[in-house]
Formats: sequence, C-alpha cells, structure tokens
Amino acid sequence: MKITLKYFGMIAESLAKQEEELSMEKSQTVSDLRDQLEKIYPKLKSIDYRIAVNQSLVESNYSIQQDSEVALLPPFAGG
Amino acid sequence: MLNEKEKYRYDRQIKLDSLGISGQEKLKASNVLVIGAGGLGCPVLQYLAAAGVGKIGIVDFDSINESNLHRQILFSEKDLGNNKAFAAAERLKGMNSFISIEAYPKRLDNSLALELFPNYDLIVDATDNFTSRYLINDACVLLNKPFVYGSIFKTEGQVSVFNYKKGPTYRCLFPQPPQFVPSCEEVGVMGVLCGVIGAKQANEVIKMITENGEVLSGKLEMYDALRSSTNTFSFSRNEDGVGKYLMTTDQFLKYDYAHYCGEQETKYIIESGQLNDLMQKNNVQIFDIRQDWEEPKLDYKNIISIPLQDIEKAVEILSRDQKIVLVCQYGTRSSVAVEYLRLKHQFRDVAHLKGGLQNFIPKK
Repeated sequence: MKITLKYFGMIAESLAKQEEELSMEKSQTVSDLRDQLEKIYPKLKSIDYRIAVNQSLVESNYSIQQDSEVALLPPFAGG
Repeated sequence: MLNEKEKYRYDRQIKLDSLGISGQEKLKASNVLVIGAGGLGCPVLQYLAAAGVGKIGIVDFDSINESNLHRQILFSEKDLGNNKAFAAAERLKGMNSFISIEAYPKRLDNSLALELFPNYDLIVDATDNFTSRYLINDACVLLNKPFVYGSIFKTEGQVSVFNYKKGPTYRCLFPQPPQFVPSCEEVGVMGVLCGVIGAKQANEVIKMITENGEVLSGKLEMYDALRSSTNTFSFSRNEDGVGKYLMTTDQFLKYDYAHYCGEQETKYIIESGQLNDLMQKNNVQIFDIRQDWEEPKLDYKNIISIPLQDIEKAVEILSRDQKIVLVCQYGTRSSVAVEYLRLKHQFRDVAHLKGGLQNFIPKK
C-alpha cells in the first residue's frame, strides 16, 4: 500500500523535499511509521514532530490506511 | 458607547454586517496583552490599534537593532537602541489617540505573567522562544485566558488559538519542548511572512472579541510563503495532558521554564566582543568544531580544529587549565557541544560563541 508524506519546516529543509510517496507492506501504526522513516532518514531522530493523518493529529497507536496523507509537523520557535 | 468621532473613524468596518456598531463597541471595551513586539508583534499591534482595541498592553525587554528593521515595521532608524515596548507604544499612540497603550519594558517571567494576565481579556503570543511559549500556555491555563499563537520558521508560519472556551492548549499540540530548534537569529526569516502571520493572529483576536466567524481553536494553520499554500490540521484537547501541567499559583511561580526548555545559562555563552578581548589577551583555547572546508577561518595561535563528529578525540587534547571557547558557523553545533563537554566530560571553564563565526567580526 502507498501513502503520501508531507514535510514542513525544518523537516522539509533537512530532507530537502516537501512531499513524497512511501510504500508500506501492510497497514502500520504511526509509531511503526516513525521507526521506518527514522531508518531511512536518521536526521529525523533529532527533530521533534507530531504526525497528522488526513489533516488530523493522531497518537502513536493510530493505524494508517492505504492512500492516507501523512504530515510531519515540527513546532516552530521564531517570532 | 462610541462617540461621533469614533463612529466616523471606524466607519468602514462598522459598515460590515459581521462587525457593526456592537462589534466596534466590543473592540473598544476589550483589553489585549501582546507578548513580544518583534516580527510578529509589530503587525499584530498595528492592526489591533488601527481596529480600535480599547486597551493594548505590550511586553518586550529587548531593544531595537538594525537587523530588526526588515520585518519589525513599527520601528524606524531613529528608534535604534530604544526599547521595543516603549517604541511600539509611542508609534501606536501616534496612529490612534482613541485607545490606550501600556508598555512593559520587561522580560516576561512567571510573576509578571501572574501580575499582568488577569488584567487582560486575551493574550497574544508573539514571542520567539519556547521558554515564553510554555510559560504563556501554562499561565493562560491557570488563569483561564485564551491566547493566540503565531510562530515562524524561515518562510513558513504557524497560527492557532489555544485555551479558548476550554479548547485545546499548546501542550495538546506539542506536549513538551523540543530538544533543539534554531532561532531566527541563526537561520534567518522572511519579513513579509511575519506580516502575514501577524495579520492572521490579529484577525483571530478581532473575531474572538467581536464573537464573529470561526475561531482557529483546535486547528493548526500552516502557511508556506514560498508556495503560497495553506494547510490546516485539527487536534483536540487532551484532558490528561492538560491536567498533568495544571499547577497551583505557587507551583507555577516556582517552575523554571528556561531550564525546562533547555536554555543555556549565560555563563556558557560568549558574545563576539568578549571573544575579541580573550583573543587579544591570548588566554583562551579556541576549539573549532566545523568541517575543514567551512570558512572563514579564525586567525589565532591556540586553536584546535576537530569536527564535531570527532569530538571524543578533542577531549584528550583540550587543556582543562585554560578557558575553552567552542566555535562553529552559526553557534548551533557549538551550543550542543558545550553541553556535551560539560555534562559528559565535566569540563568547567567552557563556553561557546553565540551566533558563530558567521556573525563574528575580528578586531584588527
């Protein structure tokens, strides 16, 4: 199954992309996805972020379904 | 009640069905406290004053410098060196004599929050650091005040409204401060973006006061200025999470937000001028943790260059009898490395160069 990942702020900057598709073998929880992403992008380990699925923030045990849009949202500090 | 002059002055917005005379009267009767008169605070203040918010408080301890002017649009060159809260108040008084403005030229701390927040209907978080954001959040929860949040990173911004009518708080979105996030000083910020995000914050304030439209409560709006795109994410109140940080007044007063948010004590930070002095006296070891290719190089005899990833090698070489100043390009890596040397290897006399070598001007 496939999902679309959207990156914001320092995550988009650090990975040098705003968006990409990711293939997953089966439905995963948010926490599985974090592990998978942090293996692909070790830089993510040092960035704090929340995850939203289809525009709603979700907790780590949430199960991600086919074709979901998953956003990685870091807090911003500046003002 | 509005007098004839006020009715004329605000005529174009009174004509709006969504505002009307009653909305204008609500604005006149309202009190708003804006924390931070910087990139976000300037546009927020400008629009709130123009719209006729009856009483506006401004908290800012900082003074105006030239690198603020591209985004802090209330200030001009004649204001350089002056306090931001005073300068903003002065400017706004000249813009609208129907409203009252109070300047607090102070750094927001726990006791100031408890002293000021009760006198205002709502709070605007226009600060630039996590210490203030968590402090504002917890004070607003304690005192039951809504607050409008805005924050930026380079060319992107976030806006939301927290603790509005028992809605979600900042901690429901980000329960704890991040390990590390760079500031505008280190990474740069787009001036226009501050205007966009600040105007959105002012818009939320006006909707809340006039009880119109939909307030951005339980929603995080993300705006990307380069792509002109907006994404909105919804989230809900986490009652357990809110309860976990709900404090009594005494507990709140004792809470060390700077420490909690990982802010460094000033004794581990060195400003440009101080480094020049130390280099003149030749009584410092400089430890450059950048990669070989990073410029400009520093001209000093007692300098050790070992990239951050090999910091363990440096531990053996660095002398513990002399002050050590860590330097990198922007002061970000060096800030992390100071903590590493202090906490992991118990170095005592160690500090890092704030702003890094990119912002350092060597004395000839």
